[in-house]
Amino acid sequence: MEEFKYLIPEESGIVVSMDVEKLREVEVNLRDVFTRHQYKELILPMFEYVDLFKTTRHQKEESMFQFMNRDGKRIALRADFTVPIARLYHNENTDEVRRYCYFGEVFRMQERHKGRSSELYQAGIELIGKPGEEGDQECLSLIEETMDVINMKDLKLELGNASFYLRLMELVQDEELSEILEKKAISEMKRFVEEKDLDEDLKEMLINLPSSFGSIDDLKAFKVKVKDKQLLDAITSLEELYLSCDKKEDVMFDLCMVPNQSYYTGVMMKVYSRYSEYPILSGGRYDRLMNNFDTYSPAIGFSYHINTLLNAYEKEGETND
Amino acid sequence: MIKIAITKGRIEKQVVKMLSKQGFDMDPIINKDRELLIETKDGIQMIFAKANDVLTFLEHGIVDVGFVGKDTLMEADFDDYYELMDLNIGKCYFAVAAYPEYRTKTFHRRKRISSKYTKVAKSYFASKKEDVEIIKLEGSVELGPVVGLSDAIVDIVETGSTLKANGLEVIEKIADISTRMIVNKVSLKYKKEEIFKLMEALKKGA
Repeated sequence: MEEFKYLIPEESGIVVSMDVEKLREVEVNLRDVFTRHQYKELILPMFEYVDLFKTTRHQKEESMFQFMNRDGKRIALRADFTVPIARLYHNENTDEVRRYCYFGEVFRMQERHKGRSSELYQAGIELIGKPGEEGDQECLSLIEETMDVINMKDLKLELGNASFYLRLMELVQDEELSEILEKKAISEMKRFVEEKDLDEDLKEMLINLPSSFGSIDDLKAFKVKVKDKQLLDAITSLEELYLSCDKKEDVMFDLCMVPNQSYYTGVMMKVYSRYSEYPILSGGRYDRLMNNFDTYSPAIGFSYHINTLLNAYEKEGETND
Repeated sequence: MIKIAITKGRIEKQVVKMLSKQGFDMDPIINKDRELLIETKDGIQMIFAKANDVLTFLEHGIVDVGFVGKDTLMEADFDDYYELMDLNIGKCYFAVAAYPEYRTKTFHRRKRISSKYTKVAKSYFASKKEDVEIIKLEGSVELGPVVGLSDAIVDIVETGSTLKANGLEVIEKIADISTRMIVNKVSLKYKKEEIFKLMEALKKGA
């Protein structure tokens, strides 16, 4: 086994190749924006109970790095920041607005030989206790400000709405729709709609849904096809958020965005770079997460995926050379 | 410019034919020798790869669009892509196949199933709440029951003639398969117009 001293385990692959100087620069710039807006920086535990992630965000067993502690309880390396922060808010026993930010790693086991990293560096915020549009606007304007300091050309901010999705699922009552939306499977949607006994207006809207993403004009054009009051409200709230955005030309919409956590309730955000095959930022409103701690509190947050961002910088550099 | 990865062989031939019918410049591809990367006059860059690799290239953002069979998508562990279109070509299906006796036979041990598609086989039997042993074979999976390695197989069935020639028959159909156009999620946001144009052409070329 002598040769293993020369090798790095697959799990840690990307860390050694990270451009630390750039990482720190991004971190300093983001921290500057966060603290200017009174977001308090937290350092959170690296070890958590497996149950914390399992019960709140249904983290898959096999994706967590686990061991058993002395009490025979299973411990996992931190798999996420949002849930521990929600717990912290609960423990503070308050209903006031709190602003938190964090910088650090989460650990999620990946498939072998796929070139994916298990150690993911994140930088983000949680805004807890500020409901509805007011909270959404604060969060969006913070994202726009960070997009400036990220300083990469051609970034796009995309908005979706979990309440649109939740209402659709209520109307259609079929889990298969979720997968079709997530995959924007235009052909599958046609087949699905033909086989279903649904209202004609709803059918027409569903068929158009997978290709409706894009600019504010695409959103407005699609809105005409929507008849349901709650679905319309969900679109209107996105239009209102759009009006509060500074750089309207960089804002896009996608009503097919499927919440990847059951606690998402409202606006969802993603930031894309043309130099990255994955979003560099994701987030959303999650008014239901606190239910896990037997309290209700509206909340919204986002995080930058710093590994992805650093890869994008590298690619941007190569493209410009 | 859009970058496309196509599964080598039959899918490649069919897609190229559909696009050339719609006026896309496909000559460099039809006349290619052994090159693996080709650029056409319409600003399309194509690479030719094995089915699983098409997915890998798409996952890593090397290509925007991929053409690949649903069988490959079902067996893969990566599913973070858009599956925009069913091209309705390369149609076949996944099935459980065995000797006819399989239907009525009582097993006093775990059933053994051989397949190249272990994930598909595993999730199919799991969905039927049936515990089976899965044995991976890389090809000529029909050999499993013939030589007595397994009780049944999970495989792709097109005409069923290979099964028949070996005395096997379809016990149960699992899922339909056809060629799909898949798209990298971020690519679609930046290149909606170009990618939709390609999709429209394929619709008409069908």
